[in-house]
Amino acid sequence: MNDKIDLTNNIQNNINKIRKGLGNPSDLIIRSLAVGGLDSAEAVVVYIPELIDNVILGAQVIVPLTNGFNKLKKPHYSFKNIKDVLVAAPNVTEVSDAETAIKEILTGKTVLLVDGLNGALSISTKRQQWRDINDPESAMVTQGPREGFVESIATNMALIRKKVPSPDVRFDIKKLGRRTQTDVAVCYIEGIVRKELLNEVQKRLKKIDIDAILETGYVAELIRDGKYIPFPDSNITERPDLAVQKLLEGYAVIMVDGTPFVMIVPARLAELLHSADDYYLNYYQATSSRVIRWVALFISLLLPSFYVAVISFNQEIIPDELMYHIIRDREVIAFPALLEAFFMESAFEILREAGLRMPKSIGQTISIVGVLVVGEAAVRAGIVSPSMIVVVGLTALSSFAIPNVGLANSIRLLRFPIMFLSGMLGFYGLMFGFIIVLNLLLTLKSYGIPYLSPFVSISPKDLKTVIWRTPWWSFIYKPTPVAADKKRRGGKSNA
Amino acid sequence: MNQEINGQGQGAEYAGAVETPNKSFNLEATHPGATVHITWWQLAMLILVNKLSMLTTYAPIIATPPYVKEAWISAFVAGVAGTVIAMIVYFLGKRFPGFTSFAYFETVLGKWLGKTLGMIFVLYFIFTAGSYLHLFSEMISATSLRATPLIVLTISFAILSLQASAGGFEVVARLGEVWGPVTGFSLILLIFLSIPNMDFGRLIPMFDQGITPMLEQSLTPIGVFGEISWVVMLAMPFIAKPKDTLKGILIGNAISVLLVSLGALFLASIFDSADIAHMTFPSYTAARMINISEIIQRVEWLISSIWIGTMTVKLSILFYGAAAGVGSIFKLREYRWALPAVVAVSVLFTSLYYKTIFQGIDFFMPLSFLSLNIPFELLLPGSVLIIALLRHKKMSDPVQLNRLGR
Repeated sequence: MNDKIDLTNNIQNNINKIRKGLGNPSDLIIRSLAVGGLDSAEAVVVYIPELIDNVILGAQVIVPLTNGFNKLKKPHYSFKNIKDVLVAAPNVTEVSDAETAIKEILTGKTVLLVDGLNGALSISTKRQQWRDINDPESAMVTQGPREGFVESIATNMALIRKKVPSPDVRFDIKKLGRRTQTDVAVCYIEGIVRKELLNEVQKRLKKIDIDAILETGYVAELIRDGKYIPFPDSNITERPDLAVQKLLEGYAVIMVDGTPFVMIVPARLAELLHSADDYYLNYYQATSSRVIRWVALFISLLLPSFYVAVISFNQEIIPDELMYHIIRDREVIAFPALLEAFFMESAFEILREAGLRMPKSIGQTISIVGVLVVGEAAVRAGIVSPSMIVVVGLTALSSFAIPNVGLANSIRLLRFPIMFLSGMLGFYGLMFGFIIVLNLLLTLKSYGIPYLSPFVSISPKDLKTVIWRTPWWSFIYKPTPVAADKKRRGGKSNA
Repeated sequence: MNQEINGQGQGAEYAGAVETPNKSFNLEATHPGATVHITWWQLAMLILVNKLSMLTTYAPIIATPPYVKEAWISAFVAGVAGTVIAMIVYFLGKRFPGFTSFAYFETVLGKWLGKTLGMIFVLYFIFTAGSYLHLFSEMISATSLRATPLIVLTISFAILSLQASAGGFEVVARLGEVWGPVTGFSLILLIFLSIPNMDFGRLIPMFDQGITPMLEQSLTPIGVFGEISWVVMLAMPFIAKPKDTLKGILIGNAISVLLVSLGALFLASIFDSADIAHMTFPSYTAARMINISEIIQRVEWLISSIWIGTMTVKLSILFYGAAAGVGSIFKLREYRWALPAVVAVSVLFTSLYYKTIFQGIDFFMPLSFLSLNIPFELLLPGSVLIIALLRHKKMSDPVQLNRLGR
């Protein structure tokens, strides 16, 4: 930004340096204070009004200063004394150069300059204007807390602290983004997290060199494993309870200021199918939900391709009765199964994309229009067959049953190439596409842990935690490759 | 709440914030996940998949008519032979923990002789991979994609296997770990669904033609079971707990024997010897015959899926072996650099050399298959072991062992 320029004891020069450094902005306020009587030393507070809280500025800075300077005799004027005796704000630091002072002003602090004194005081008066904590819309649960992370990293940290008031909960804070200087915190529980994981996360964060970090997605993409593999290797959530659950199992949580989404690392495929309420619902309900999600994952990836392969090449595997109906319906269809599937899947994706950014009320209309126009009308027009509508509907439902948005999107994308392969090579093409995807998954590691574990590198204890939800009264272990602390979390003897 | 948090301040002033460790991080040394290691179970599954890939496909491999009835016993004979072959490679590898076979060939035989032997193995791997590529492509072509040019199927198989072997032996092992149970359970499911078609009366009388033909019939399965030799040879340097290697070999072999034997029994109880004589892929035909209440019928897609998966595993082991050999012999920094060339040569070989499906099946005729494979599976590793014993050659590389996390 600027070269370092020391703030001297000439207040006017200092004001000019700050003003110049900021490009003489119209929203910069330089408010002078008469201190120690009218003919005494001059002081100013410099701030950007939209970034600060006026009440805090008035109560904790201006009032104590104007009243207090009279008490403080001129020979005792020093920033240390002003800080210790006068300013009521809890966070005050001394700065010595204009560059730092400017950065402080831009992050919502107020800078105090006093004529005759070298340097300045930076006083925390940041405006906390965040939305209230409410239901995380991206991850609804049937049972569980109705609170989600918000855009303030400080609030998010407090949410975690509230749930685990333990001195072992740690936050390592870094400022990332050359221009944005965004606060990025790595949260973990000392004693449970593996040191190697923590060091690896820190090492990757340290390597980040980018001008701005505006959302967790930036960090997730910059520090991920397998940069060309289209599967998320971190679990991005806005639920504090899921984050805490994972912290207790030895995972690390990366939080970025300005977004309610945090990322949990490492994340394996099986963990991306976990939902927060798995831990609250009865164990057999939770386990069956997980099984359903696995089925949904496969349906979402392979069902349209299976349909295309069967209709185009392998009709023999369909029971005769059903085949008769399908053939009868398809008699009037002008397109081959591949084009039919491609048309319907694309239409669905367009509808989904349109619905995402619509206001809620219009979103509903869009889905009705979608169902009526694209479904019913397409069948009547002879573009698609009713069985194709069933396939697309089931696929769409299944993709929404995947709790992790990143994973659901990856599956959606991969569905198309597999569909084309099935259209060209039938069942062989489907298997070809599936094995390519499987190979990608097998190649991927999330922070050193195989992405497909515990299916590969099998560990029975890990299976108990990751695949099915073991009852709390049974022997609960932390995921073996993740946690350093191998002690079980609960069990009969602890009851 | 806001007030409270505001009170705590921002940035580095957060309560609980600690200094970020500033130490340089050596992934290889401290991160166990970063090292290449496989488990004994992965070895066992690689052995299983490697065998099932061939033994569940072409009829002549397991049951050469007219000795179909006793084929399930020949699986046991072949299994015992396979275990003996594996033991030889195991004892050889045990003398050189952490080293690939290509590295210890040079230690035992000297630089040039070792490199020559390594190169012979590379060519053997390429030849075998090429032959299997042909057989697998023919299989898919003959069963479902008759109109598709063979080269399309050959190249697609090559791409699948290339992708897996490019990930390293760990990925190949994981692929085996996934397909092993899938193949095993699918086979059991097929057998279960075929129960209505079975007639165990077809299995008797046994040994009506004497023991010798049965032993003769075991020759091709011995060749296929002997392939355990190169699986163990390539896997041994990566096994995380070397003392578990034996467990992996024995369990892998035992499951293979049981499943192959069960498969042979299942085929022999469905078809007459005379029928099998006219079939190339009896397991496919058996799957096609399945019909449970007209709801579950024609499940040949299941057997095709098993084939494609298991073949990918087998080919990726062979491609990995050939590329690792070239990498070791020519001291390449990355074995992956040799991979495209190895795969290209295999594809070229298969498309130039093999013209018909029968040429491929001839490859599996007992004597020709055994005479081609036994030198590489048994004689050459056995000779290297004898020379190593005579020359008291034995070594271990502490750096390599440390890398493997031992």
